[in-house]
Amino acid sequence: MNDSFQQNSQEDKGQDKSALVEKIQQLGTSSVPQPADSNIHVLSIIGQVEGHMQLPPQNKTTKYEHLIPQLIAIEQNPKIEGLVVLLNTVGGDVEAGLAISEMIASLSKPTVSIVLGGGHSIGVPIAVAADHSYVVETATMTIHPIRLNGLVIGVPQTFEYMDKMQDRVINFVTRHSNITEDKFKELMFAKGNLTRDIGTNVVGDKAVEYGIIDAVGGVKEAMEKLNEMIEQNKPEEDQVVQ
Amino acid sequence: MILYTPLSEHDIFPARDEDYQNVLYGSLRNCPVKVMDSGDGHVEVVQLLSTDPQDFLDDQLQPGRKIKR
Repeated sequence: MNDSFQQNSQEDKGQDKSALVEKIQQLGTSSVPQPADSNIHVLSIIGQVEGHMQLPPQNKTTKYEHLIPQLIAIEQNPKIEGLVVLLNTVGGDVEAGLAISEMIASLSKPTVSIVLGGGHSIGVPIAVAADHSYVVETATMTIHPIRLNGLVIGVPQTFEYMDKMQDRVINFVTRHSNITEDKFKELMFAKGNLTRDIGTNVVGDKAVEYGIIDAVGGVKEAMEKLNEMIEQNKPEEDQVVQ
Repeated sequence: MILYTPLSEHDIFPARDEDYQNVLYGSLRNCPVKVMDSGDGHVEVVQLLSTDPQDFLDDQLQPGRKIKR
């Protein structure tokens, strides 16, 4: 155990690290979770989901380049049997959010998500990406069309691109939850619910009613479900075969 | 001065380059962390980036703790 801080940089050459781990660190991403006592790991999606643009340091952000190697490590590490995704996010970069969602959805290990506080905007696909999703009663999820800020060159092309991007979000959500495409679009383009904006702010039990989220519940329900799924996921050889 | 705009603050007042340079990513006790360089040869833990819940119980890794570089 090393008590001093080691920065991820070119000069950082730890002797006991494997070449692969060193490579990941040199790329400025997080190190691989080590075998630990806990068989369940926690991924928190907090603040803004940061994509290609780096936000100023005073913003609380979730960087996808940190999360993706961690998800690979979770998949690879045999000691880790399940993953809990905690969401309290305002949304953020669509492509980064979809990348995280696809990574969570394609994990072979059982995953459970809990929406606490807020799972807005691109937080919706991340929440539904887990095998089983929970929302606490007081949490809200804002569903709205995707938008863009900044300078636009080539308006028709940009519009087409944005339209396709929106379809990808809608397809992902409908594939991984029980909501129908029509209902999701209805919530997304609803008028009069949000001040000066199009969309709907869905509160806890409503999200379950619409079929976006599987159940209302907190940590207890999520952990029970995850442990149950871990038991089901155990390979056959653990049982006595005559 | 009050700016009435839907744009976010950082779109109008871009952050200075130094703000980014003080924030470092690395590992401490095998745990990936985000730290702030306090400039006196110490770094201050800002955030743990680990997925292992046990890391969050380690009192050496609590946010705000200063560690020699």
